[in-house]
Amino acid sequence: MGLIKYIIRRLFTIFLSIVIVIIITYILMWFAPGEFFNIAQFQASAGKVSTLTPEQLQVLIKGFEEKYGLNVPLWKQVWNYLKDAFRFKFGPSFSNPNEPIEVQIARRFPVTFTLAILSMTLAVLLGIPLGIIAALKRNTWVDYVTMFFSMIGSIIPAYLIGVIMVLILSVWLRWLPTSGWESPKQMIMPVIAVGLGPLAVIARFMRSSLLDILNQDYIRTAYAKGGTDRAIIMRHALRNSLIPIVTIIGPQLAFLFTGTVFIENLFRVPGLGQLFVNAASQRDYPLLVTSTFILSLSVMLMNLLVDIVYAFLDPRIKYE
Amino acid sequence: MKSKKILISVLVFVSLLLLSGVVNGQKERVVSLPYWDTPGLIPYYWQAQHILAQGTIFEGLFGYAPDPKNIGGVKVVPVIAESFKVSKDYKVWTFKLRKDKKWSNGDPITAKDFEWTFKFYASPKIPDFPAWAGPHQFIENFWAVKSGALDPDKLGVKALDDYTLEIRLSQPRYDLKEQLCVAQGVPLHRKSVEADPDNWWRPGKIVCNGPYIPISWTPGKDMTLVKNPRYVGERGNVDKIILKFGGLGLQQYQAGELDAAMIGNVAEYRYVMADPKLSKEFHEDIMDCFWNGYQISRGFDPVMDNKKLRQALAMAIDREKLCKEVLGGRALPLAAYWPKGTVIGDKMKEIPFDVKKAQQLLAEAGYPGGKGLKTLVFYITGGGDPVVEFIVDQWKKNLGVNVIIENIESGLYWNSYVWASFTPEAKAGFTVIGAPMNNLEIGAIFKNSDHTLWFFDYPASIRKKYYDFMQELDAWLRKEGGLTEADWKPLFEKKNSLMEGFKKILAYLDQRGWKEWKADISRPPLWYEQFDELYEKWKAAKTDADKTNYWRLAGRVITDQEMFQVTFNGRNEPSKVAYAWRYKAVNRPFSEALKIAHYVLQPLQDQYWMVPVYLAKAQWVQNPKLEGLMLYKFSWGPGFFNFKYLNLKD
Repeated sequence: MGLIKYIIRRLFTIFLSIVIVIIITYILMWFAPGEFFNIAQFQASAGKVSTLTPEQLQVLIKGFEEKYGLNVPLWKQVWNYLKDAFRFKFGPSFSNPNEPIEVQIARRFPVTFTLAILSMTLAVLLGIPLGIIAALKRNTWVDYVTMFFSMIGSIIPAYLIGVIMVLILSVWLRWLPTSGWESPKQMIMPVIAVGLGPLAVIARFMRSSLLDILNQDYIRTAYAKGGTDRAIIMRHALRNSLIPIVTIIGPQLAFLFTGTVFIENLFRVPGLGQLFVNAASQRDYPLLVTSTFILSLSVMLMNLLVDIVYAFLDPRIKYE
Repeated sequence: MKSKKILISVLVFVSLLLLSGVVNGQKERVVSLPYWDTPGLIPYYWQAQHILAQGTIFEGLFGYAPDPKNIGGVKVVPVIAESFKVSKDYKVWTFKLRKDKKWSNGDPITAKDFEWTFKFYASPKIPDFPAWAGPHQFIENFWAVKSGALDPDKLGVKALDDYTLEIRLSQPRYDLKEQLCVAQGVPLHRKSVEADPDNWWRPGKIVCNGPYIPISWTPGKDMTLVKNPRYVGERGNVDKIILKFGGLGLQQYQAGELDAAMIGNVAEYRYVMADPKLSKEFHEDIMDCFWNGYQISRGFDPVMDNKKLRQALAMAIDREKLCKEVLGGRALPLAAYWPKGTVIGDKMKEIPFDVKKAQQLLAEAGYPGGKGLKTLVFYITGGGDPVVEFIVDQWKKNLGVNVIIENIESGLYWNSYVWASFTPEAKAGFTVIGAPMNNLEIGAIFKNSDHTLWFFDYPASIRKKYYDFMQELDAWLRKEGGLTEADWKPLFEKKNSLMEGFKKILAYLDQRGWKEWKADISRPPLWYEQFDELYEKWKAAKTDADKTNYWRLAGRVITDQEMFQVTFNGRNEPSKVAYAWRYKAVNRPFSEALKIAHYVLQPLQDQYWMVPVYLAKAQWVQNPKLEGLMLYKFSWGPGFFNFKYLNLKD
């Protein structure tokens, strides 16, 4: 019951936070240079407006503003946006008037979600064991090699790893297709490219977290009571050392939902990243606000999920 | 009804199978090509699909055929049009249509399709229709229909019978044929658009009339086209075309996943030329529809008003060295808006590379050895710009001029620094510019160098006034008042003084013999007629809101005219001459306009506000078995388009 109450309270906080984020986004765009709200968009669409009579121009501007919801004061625009956004209706975008933003997102989100989940799964399944091995074999060559590669993984950008993989696996060895997103074979390289960064981070966190736990008094007590390595690590150390890992997995996953733009472009993965990045450079304010909305919501929901998982990992944590 | 639909679907599917060779045992010919990421298939939006609509999935009355010697590597040919005639004043065009052309669902293509489509484009239902990108804005009553003031039936487009289309224009357009080649010139299939206004364009639903039909599309990834079984006309032997968006083009080509790939940078170019196989599959062509260089930043600092300073800077750049050492042979030096070897370029004088002369000019400008000249700013965007670094270095070495490079966020850069009318916050200096032709419209042959006419070639004080007038035009839309005759009094006084100025301008144009220019500014309704009409409406208005609105609009008319007169009178003499020649050029057929275009371009170039530096090459590798691949050289280019000529050899 406590958990349900906690979730409801957190959802309400998320709702309020998003409202504040969207208001701030609107205000920032209002002050940002680059004519976010100007009728320049209309003028670009209309062409030689000098050939119009003033009344024709006025009517045309009105039509354009109505289509994009610009015909009301800014506070009303924010209100209208929020009202629709919580029903996942985002309206048309400047840069792609072919279809509403929610249709574009609905098509792209599953792709990005799959890429993010697969990459994070890879990162967790490999990162945690590598971190454990490094911690248990600390200051041996196993530890050094593991940490060296995890350092490499965290400092080399994902797109560079992607290019190198394409050269080796596709062009030279011809084992995998260079790009695409239909078959499992096409997913291998993007998933590895995206997953290597989080994998390296998780491995390093896991190592330091486990080392920290292994130096705790209760572990020493367990050894004093005659516990074996295996039993102590599995029963006492591992579970507790996972708590900080869960903390970093949540936000990492949320950012993967929108932050894989280079990899999407490199491997022709039709996800959300490209869509959202273009929003800023094209001064596409409806899409830009929506990208802020989606990203904020993802991060907050992930944080909620992480907090819920804490309780399962550490029974001392109570939700109030 | 349902069974009929199923039967039709089965028939279409079987015919597609037959055409694709699956059933009759022929090997399917599939070509994979790189393409711009395409966010939809509605042809009239200025997005990647507009290039696909030009001759691949749609066709209009006219289209492009390959012609390597012509501008853009294309010539205009009739496609659905069989013949045409045009009135003496080039305002009424009558087209006879071919009778054998069909939609992909088998319906015949008739003049009524064009009439309905053009009226649909003009209707207020599409408020964001990019009219600047096509010929519709010149059709009689287009704007009145668009604003809802007139019924779409009043638009100057009429099907005289099933196969005769008449287009009446509000002003003479000698290049209508050329303009009808663009995506907005294609017809839409009325029944399918009306049946599903939001989704008619999606693969599986779209009824088109080009040689290929889209059957799948994933934005950010790819699109698949197959032969249109109903297509009548010239077409190659390729059964299926897969257009791939993004990815590593050259690596996809090497892995056998693409049949052509653009070379995107010097490193790729060197890699290709060093590879025995790739180097044999290498192709290149000049992007003659562009020029690349720099422009003076669009601020109001008068220091750049000094023509000798601008000329000195333009003459102090070693373009040969730039192309060889910085651009690695991927561009040609360009010292005129059009290169030598083209019909316009052959008549133009080039900007010489002459350091001594440049130093002399700089001294004459008042800055010997660069002394006394403030530090200028070269605005760029992105991670860095080796071309700009080279130019800045040349100016420092050859002239002693100090220029710092300032990086600006890309959206702000392109919208507010490069293509804005004016940039009040810009310091004295420069931005890069890559100015393209959008299509074969006559005005496009000036490749946007006529921005010198619109925004540069006045003294800084007039440019500032121009900007202030633009702000005032906006402000009029929000002004309070206009409820009493007293509010109109200053407007009438202004109108009377402007009438005098307007008459003087007309007389001046008469005196110079610039009749085309005069005709353009005399086109009804004249500004004072608009003003009087608004005043009459104000008198008849019943609500305060209406009264304020008419008063605001009248105020805009006055400000607009004042802006025109100030800028007309403040314009420099060479700019006036170029302007007059521009009017002459756009008032004659395309081929004739090409012959006199240099009279516009040369005086513009000689003002050195917008300075050509290099001409980029398009470079690509291509499957040796592939023929008929057409390079798209207009804006958005380089890329490939018009796929009906593709042939894949066995």
